[in-house]
Amino acid sequence: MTSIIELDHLTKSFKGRGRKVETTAVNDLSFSVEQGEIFGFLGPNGAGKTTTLYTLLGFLHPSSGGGSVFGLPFGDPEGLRRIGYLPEYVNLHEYYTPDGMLNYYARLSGLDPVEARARASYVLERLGIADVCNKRISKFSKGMIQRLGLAQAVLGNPDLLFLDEPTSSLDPVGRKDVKDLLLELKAQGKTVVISSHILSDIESLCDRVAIIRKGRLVKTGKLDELLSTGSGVRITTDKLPTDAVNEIQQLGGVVIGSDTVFAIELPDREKEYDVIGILRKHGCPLISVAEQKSSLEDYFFDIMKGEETK
Amino acid sequence: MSILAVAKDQFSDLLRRRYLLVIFIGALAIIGMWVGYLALMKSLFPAMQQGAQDAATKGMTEMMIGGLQVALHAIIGSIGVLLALGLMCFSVTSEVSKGTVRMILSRPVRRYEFFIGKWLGCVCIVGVYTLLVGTMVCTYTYYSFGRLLPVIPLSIAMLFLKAITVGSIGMALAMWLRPIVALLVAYLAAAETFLFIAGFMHGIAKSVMHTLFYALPSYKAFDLYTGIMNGTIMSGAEIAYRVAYAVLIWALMLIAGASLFQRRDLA
Repeated sequence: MTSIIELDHLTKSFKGRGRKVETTAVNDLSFSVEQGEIFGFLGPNGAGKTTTLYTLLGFLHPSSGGGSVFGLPFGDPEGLRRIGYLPEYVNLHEYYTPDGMLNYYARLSGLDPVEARARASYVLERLGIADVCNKRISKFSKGMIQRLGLAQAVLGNPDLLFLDEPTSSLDPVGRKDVKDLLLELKAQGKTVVISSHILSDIESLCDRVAIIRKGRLVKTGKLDELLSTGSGVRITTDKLPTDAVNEIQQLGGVVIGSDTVFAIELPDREKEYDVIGILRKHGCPLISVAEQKSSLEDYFFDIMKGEETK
Repeated sequence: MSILAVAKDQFSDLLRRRYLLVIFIGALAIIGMWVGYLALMKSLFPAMQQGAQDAATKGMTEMMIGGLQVALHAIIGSIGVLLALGLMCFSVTSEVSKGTVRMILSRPVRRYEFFIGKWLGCVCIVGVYTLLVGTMVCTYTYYSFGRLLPVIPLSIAMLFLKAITVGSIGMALAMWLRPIVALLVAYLAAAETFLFIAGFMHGIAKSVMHTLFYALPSYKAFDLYTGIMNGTIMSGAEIAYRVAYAVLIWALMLIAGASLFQRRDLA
């Protein structure tokens, strides 16, 4: 795997009024994003997510540290040629129609006019706004502006997408469309960096995540690994005699169940085969054995609580 | 390519602004009022009518034309300068405060290209203004007095140079100061202002004011009021000097403004 984004001890501070008070928005941040993955960037409000994205795009100058995007300095036009960006608040020139706006962004990107027209038609169609392409943006709803923002981000068929809260203004149908689009882009080998508060979206889309708090990196890693850390196994069966329950409980298992389905939760995988042996012994059919995972939301809150107590 | 795209966008954006329409119509209305005033004067003083040939009447007519033209040029010139200042001081900063700048600069557009594009868009709008008022002033002068002295269109062209010069200074200052402060400083920090202040000072303060007079750009170089009064036109070399002076200031201000913009955090 090739690293597309490298952050190396990135720090960004802002000087306040009078230049005496200094706020550190991003503090000694280091991580990398690999080619072809969907990378989630999580953190509470004011954690420094947007500041990091702004620095990666060259809008902000690092106070110390640095890094690269496609091996180029932040904000390098050659790198930007391969990047699409959707900001949290999509601010578009309201006098444009979607067609006109995409034409403007295509010219800024140096796209061939014929190719740009074809791409614009495709992305407008793909994001479900082709039927309003002659309407002024000022007449658009928030959700439509969000879709249009995404359309301009994917217009140049970029290799890397930075999406800041891409689904925040969308209805469930819109969210599904966007998720499908992102999965399609991933299948094409594109890299996507998403900053979002909607943890269920991150959980369903991302391969890896970085969690930051107060500008510092708290956790980074593959989502599967992070969510399975410290979790056990859940075994389900549809028959569980009392003797078997007692034996399982002696092994430390917790039995939850009704008359028809029983779930056995084990705190770790060590006793997994012992429990399966007990079920076999008592003639209990095995329905499933699955790794017990916490949801990203639970994991996120645990991490945040842990950080608060530090 | 990016410069032209940004300039075209800026031009189209500004053309849709209602306040700009009000300014354009206001300027044309002022010219219209001037025409009305002159028509009234003509009816009150029949000697001003076209065709009066004796020396005294001719002299009076010339003076009247000159006086009115100077006043008119001063008014449309001031509107032009304020228009250029207003547009240029807020052109980049409004994009920054609205957040649209980040959408644009996430494209392979260099900051200096964006800055120059914005400047060029404003120059085109001021050009449209100059063309409109200039055409009207020249047409009215020609039809009212049966002739058009070359100093009139030249003076209007100089007003354009002056407006862009003051606007460019304001635009560069707006990268460092608040736009409204930049506007005021650019308007007031002309060489002539400090020469005027020096008249009230003594000793070191007077020397400082004189130094500032020589260091700061002169806006007066673009005012051809004496020429309008006398009906005389300056030499080609003098015109070339003024054009070169303006272009030099524009270039310096664009370099300074773009450098400051490059260093700025667009949070």
